[in-house]
Amino acid sequence: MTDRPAAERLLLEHLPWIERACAALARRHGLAGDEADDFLSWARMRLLEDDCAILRKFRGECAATTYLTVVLATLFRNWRVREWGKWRPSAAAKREGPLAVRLEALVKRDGFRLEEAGERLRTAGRTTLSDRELAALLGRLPEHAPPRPVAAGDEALAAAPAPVAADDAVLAEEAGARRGEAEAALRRAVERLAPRDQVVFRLRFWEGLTVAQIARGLGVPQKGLYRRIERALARMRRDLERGGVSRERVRELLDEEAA
Amino acid sequence: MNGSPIDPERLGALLDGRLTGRERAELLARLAASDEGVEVFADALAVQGELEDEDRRAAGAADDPRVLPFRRPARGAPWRPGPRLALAASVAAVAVGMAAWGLARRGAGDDDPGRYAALLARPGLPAGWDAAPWTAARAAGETLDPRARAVRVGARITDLEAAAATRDSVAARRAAAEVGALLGALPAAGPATAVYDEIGRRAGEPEAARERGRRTAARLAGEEGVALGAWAEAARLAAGRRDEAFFRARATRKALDRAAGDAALPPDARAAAERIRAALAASGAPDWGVLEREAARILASAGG
Repeated sequence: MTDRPAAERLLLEHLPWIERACAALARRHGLAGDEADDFLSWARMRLLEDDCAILRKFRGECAATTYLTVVLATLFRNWRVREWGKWRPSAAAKREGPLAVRLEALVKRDGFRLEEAGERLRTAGRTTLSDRELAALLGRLPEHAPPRPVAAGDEALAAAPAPVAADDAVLAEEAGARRGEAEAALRRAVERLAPRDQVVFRLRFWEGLTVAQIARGLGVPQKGLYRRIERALARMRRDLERGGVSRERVRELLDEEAA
Repeated sequence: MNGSPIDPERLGALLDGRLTGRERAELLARLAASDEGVEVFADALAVQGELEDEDRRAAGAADDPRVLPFRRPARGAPWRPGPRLALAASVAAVAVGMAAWGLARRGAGDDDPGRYAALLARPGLPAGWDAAPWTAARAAGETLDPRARAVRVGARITDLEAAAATRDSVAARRAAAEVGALLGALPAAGPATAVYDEIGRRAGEPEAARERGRRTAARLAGEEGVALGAWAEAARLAAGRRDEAFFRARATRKALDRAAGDAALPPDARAAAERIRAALAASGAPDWGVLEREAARILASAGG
């Protein structure tokens, strides 16, 4: 446990690191300029709160910068839940990079049309891709739950597309239910893996990290990790098929994850 | 799946490679049951990697002579040295070359604990390098005799050098973390542990930081103990790879003589040093198994 002057020193000495880590978290989660600034201010407030209570908890069991990085990642999660509710970027978007994360956030979280999102990204200098290219990028990302509700004026309502036919809605609902069941089966199959394999699978396929990043974080050789992932995927394939998920659906699910 | 929140410092210790095998397995089991924990761990891992890469690139740009500004002659014909100047330059180049050759052969300086790792013909670390010879090498707060701590610091300095020489970033980070943890229990260790935190973050790079770390660590923990640990670990690695040149080197012979005659060492360690001397004095190829086993015995006894 650190005393207050030491905690304040820790904060002051590491302010540049804190700012860089917040900016990196913002990029990873597709935050735009104002949002990124808002998160940084909010995080700094939390670190100062209650006489630097968070920093006073530091016992020196890891490097100070590592501690701060983990604390900021936790704070980011809290900030995101407060601001966006349950929405979060997909693993596929994280794998594609910051542009895909931002595009996904604009279209699927904030409800912008693709052309509007493209215009914003190009104006901000974040891409030179055309709408067609951005559409292709968006097409590689999975469907999300509907974005959070936003207040819409008359203008927005007038511009909204016509409602889809009733048959389409029913079909979409059935497809959604099937997908939900398959995803639940996938989650159960993940839970049957050994704890270390579960963590590796989730870091790789649900959090979008590379095998090299995971190897570095867990302190294990990269080559062995590839083999471990292959074995885990093979086992999950068997589990899913035994659980009644069709072979085609299994391939779809795991290939989707493995993409 | 959502268990109770995981202590951020434990996640940090996992990222820094500071947990024992059992602690790591326990934490991974908790992570497997916590969506929030995995998410935070993933974010921290991605962010830390990104910032480390940035730092490494920045350090590389600063260290890389290829990016030094190069100014061309302003105008006119390209400049060429006259014959006398060319001769002087040739003599200077030969002198510099000889000095560099001498330095390379000598390796690091005589008071630098990195000098033994520099003798290894084939650096790099075998699998399970950190499992032996101590069972609790990573326990930062462990009560250790000062000499034993110094021996462990020296051994891990050699490991760090061996890992850095083959760009094994995972092992380099772990070795740096262990040196930092061992030094952390000493009074006034703040600057030294900060150096090793930095070395760990940069996965063992650059060499200038490691050299600063080695000298600081030796001063802080005790130069003799650090030198003994550094040599014994290098001897263990060299024996595992049948590295005859290492055992023929003068620095090795001197270290061996010192260990065998050091009355402050536990009798077991001195006896092990004697057995290494005898194995090297025997005719024919050395018994590599004996050399490796006895070097490990010195580490276990003097660093235990």
